[in-house]
Amino acid sequence: MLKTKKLVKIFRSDEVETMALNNINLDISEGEFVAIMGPSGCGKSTLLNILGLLDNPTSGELFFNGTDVSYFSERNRTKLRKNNVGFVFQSFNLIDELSVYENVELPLLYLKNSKAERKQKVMEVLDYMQIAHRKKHFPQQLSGGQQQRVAVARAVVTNPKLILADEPTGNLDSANGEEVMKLLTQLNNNGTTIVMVTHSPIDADKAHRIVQLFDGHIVTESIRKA
Amino acid sequence: MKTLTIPLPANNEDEIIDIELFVGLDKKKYEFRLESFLWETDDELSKIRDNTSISLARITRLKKSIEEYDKNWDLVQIFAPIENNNRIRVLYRKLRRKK
Amino acid sequence: MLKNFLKIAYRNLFRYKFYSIINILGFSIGLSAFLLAYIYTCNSLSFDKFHHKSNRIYRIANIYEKDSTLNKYATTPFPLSKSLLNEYPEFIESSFRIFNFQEPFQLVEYNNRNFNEKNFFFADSSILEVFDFKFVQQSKKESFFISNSVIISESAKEKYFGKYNPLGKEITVNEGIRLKVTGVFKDYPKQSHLHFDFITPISTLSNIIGNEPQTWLWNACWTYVLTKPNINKEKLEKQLPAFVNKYFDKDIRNYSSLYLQKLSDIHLKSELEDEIEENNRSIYIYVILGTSIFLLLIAMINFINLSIVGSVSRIKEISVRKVLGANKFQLILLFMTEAFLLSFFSLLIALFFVETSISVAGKITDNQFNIGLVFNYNAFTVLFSIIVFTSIIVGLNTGLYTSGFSLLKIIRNKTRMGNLKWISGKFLILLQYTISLILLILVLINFNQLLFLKNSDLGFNEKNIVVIPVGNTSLSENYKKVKSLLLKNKNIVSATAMDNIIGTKCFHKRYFYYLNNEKKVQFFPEITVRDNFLQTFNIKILEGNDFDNNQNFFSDTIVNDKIIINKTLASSFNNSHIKNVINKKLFRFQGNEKIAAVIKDFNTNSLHNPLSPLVIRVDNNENDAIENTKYLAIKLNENFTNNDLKYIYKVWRRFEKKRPFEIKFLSEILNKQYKNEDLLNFFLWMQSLLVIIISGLGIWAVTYFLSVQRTKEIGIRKAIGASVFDIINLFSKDFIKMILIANIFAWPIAYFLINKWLSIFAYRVEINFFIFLLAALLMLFQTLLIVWLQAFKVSNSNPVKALRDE
Repeated sequence: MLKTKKLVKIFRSDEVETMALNNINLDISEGEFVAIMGPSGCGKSTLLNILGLLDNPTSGELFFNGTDVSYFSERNRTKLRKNNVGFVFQSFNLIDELSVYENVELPLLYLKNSKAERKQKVMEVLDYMQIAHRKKHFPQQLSGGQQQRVAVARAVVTNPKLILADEPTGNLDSANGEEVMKLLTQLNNNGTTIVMVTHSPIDADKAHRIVQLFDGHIVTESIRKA
Repeated sequence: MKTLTIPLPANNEDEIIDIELFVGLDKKKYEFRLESFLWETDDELSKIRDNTSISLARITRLKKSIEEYDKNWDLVQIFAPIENNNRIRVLYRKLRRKK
Repeated sequence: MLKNFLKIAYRNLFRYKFYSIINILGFSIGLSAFLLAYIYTCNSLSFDKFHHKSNRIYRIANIYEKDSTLNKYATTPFPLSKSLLNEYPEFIESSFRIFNFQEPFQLVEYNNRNFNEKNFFFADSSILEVFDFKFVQQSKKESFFISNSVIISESAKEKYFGKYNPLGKEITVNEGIRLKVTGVFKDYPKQSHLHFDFITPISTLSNIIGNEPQTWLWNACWTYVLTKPNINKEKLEKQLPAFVNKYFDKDIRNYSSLYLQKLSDIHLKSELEDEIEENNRSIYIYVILGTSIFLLLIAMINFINLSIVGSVSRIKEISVRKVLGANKFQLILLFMTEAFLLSFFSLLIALFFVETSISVAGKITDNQFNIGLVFNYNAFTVLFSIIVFTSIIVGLNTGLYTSGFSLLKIIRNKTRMGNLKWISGKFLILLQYTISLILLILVLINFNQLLFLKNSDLGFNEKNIVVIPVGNTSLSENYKKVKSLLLKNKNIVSATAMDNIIGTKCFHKRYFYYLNNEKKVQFFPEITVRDNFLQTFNIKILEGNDFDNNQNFFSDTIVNDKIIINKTLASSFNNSHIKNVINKKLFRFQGNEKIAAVIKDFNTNSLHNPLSPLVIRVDNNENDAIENTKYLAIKLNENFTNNDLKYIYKVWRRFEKKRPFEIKFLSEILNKQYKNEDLLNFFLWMQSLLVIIISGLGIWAVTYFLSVQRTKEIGIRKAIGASVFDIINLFSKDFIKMILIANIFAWPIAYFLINKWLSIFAYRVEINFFIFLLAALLMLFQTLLIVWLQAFKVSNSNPVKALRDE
């Protein structure tokens, strides 16, 4: 589903050049659950951003379902993203001014779904996340665990083929974190491809495959489940 | 509880730390090893001394160490290196044989 | 403490350069506009106050009202001045008259320099006791200001005598009157309702027209009185009805009244006919001042908004202060100091700008401006109070707002002020929009009204007609010859003459007529004309026939007894059908005139006045005709060129060897009547432009601020799939809503103001709702342009940058 070839990402700022990703070759098949591990600053999030079409590589190639999307314009990336990818962030990244319902509804608005369609899909996913009773509340009124559930709900409401999670349990206590991982595993069991960045080995254990990233290089990969 | 943090006794950077964990009445055994790989040394890779090459050399050495490691052990986590240290800590877990 | 604040305030000014600059820019523009309007207002209000006795000086106003006729004159009969003085010596200390033959100018010559002088007057010598004159040169008492002498202004002296001493020299006026110069006085400032270049005693008239006219029926001159000190003017005015009854002619005394017009009121509050110079209307001045205050308000609102906006980007600094112990009051003081510094800089810039542009402003407004006026009118005090007031308001607002910053929230980095939810901000922007909209609507309507005034059909043709003043020249004496010479030119279609320029003013003359067999008397507006008048101006005859234009009007054998009236007059005589008035008698004293035709109404005055009745007559007697031939009107065909105008000049020169040639297009003369409206219109356009700039600056700063605050949110939305259009929409939504609400408030207020405004015009344009829409669209366009540009910039940035969790 996702394939990178000799992916390189260099950040330039005034005089300093940082090579965040160096020669990454990664192959992710549909339905896989891949964890990317490594210490902070090793380029995990950068890789995730490129895989999630939030950013372009400096050189190298990225294939999305066979199409070379390496140097797509922001507009085209947005289109592709809209229809295929869901994001779960460490700091939830919910919009404070919108209610739970409105937050989860947002991606559907951008996909121009009708009001009825939106209502149906949002309620379905809120029920699934067991957060429907809070649909009129605002993010500030929810606990961390509940906020992350909303974030996951938002990520899945469009039924994406791919979910990218950047340290999804990073800001949660262990109980809530476990819940989120259960959700992700459930989603993966239902066929969604998941690429997750983490530095918790416990979370990583839930994945099929663990990629160890260090200093912009893939150092090793290990298979967890057969 | 999913993780436990314990203070490590003072140790030298090149010392390997072994941890044996016993769980339950039947004392199920889990083994962990905190390895210490030398990744900065004088060899043929250290000919060129610019930043990219140093980094590349280190990665190469690390990769090699990991590749050549005992296959009975599973790599769990690579820890952030301490500056100016020739070594890097890597946590391994012994693979448990299935009954 | 304060010094510390000032130091910090000064440093902060530079640290937050972006907001400081926009703030200073906007506020200095608002201050400059206000300052200019303020100076203009004070200037206009100060007219005629330079006479040190000015608060005891009054001009006599003369009103005639009968049935539907209402005439208000600034002029009075000749004998009035002396009679007033005789009757009320306990009230009146002195009184004088000014007279100029009711001619636009006199020809003055000296030593081959000759010019048409419009500021030439005959005056009683008491003028020197009432008005201020500063003499730079003066003859001995015995010869000073006696009959056949003249005193002149400094500029007149320069013009005719250069650096030579004028005293004792003789000038020639109208090619017949010789006057000896016996004094030179300093020119009056521009802020005077009249200006003198030549003054000669009224006694000089005896050499020209014999004895002073004694008639009470001719409003020939302007009369001024100086009341005794401590005299209440109402007391004197109460005596005037008795005076009118005693002295005025029996035909008019029942319909006439007099009142005292304060000297300093003349320039702005006079709505009389026969003014010496064009005046202005106080309401125009107040509109200009009022709109500039609006502008200043908008600038102040900007200031408040920008200060609040700027404070949010200083959250950390302010929280640190709070942690270190700053309380609400100290924060307020801090912001007040910063605001004061900013406004002080704005003030300096405004003063500098006004100083450099004041000469331009002076030229446009035809007034003498100088920066010294700033000091004269307490402008400094006013400005200073404005900036103190602004600083207090801004400081209070910002201080109260920031004291509401929750420290805890800031530490946890949970503060979100990324939208227009702050109540005061939304309210202020709404207020700003409302005021701007009202202003824009007013400006557009006024412009509409001005165009309407200038382009209205006056009922007669004004195109391609030139007007030449010929009063007192040999052209009026040789009218027929002049006309036949003119008509030889193939591009000259027709020519005629009149005693006043059509469409500007009329004399009022007494007429008699019969109503139900009773003899009635009334003063009607009247134009005395020569042949081909109706044809030259394409005036339509509704009933009856024109004067026989081929007939020799002065033949002894044929008595011309025809008179032409307009529809308004005809309708007032006979309501059933105007053709019934044909052949009815309408005559002057000892005349036989009958109504020969009724013409379609045309405007005899500027459109400030409604239609009035009108009589058109021709003279029977050649001398009278010459007397009344004051203006020649020549109609050219469409193909006329400069050569044709040169031809007319040649004809002029043939008859007048020395007199300067004055020629103007009729449309130009008629449009000049709206000089004040032109000026007002110009001012208002300038102000609306400034409104758009200032409010635009404010909107830009707020939008910029919002885009910075919402960076993360935008990143999230983009990650979720928002397109550039979605982001732009996000930004504009709030503004569009506010503009719509502002319209809802602005339209009724503007409508009310416009109605009030237009009611001062006799002819007004229909209130066109398209203009309301236009103003709203303009506002929308300005806002959206700014917001979209900013939103577009933001929406193109990489979402990754926004989403970085650090």
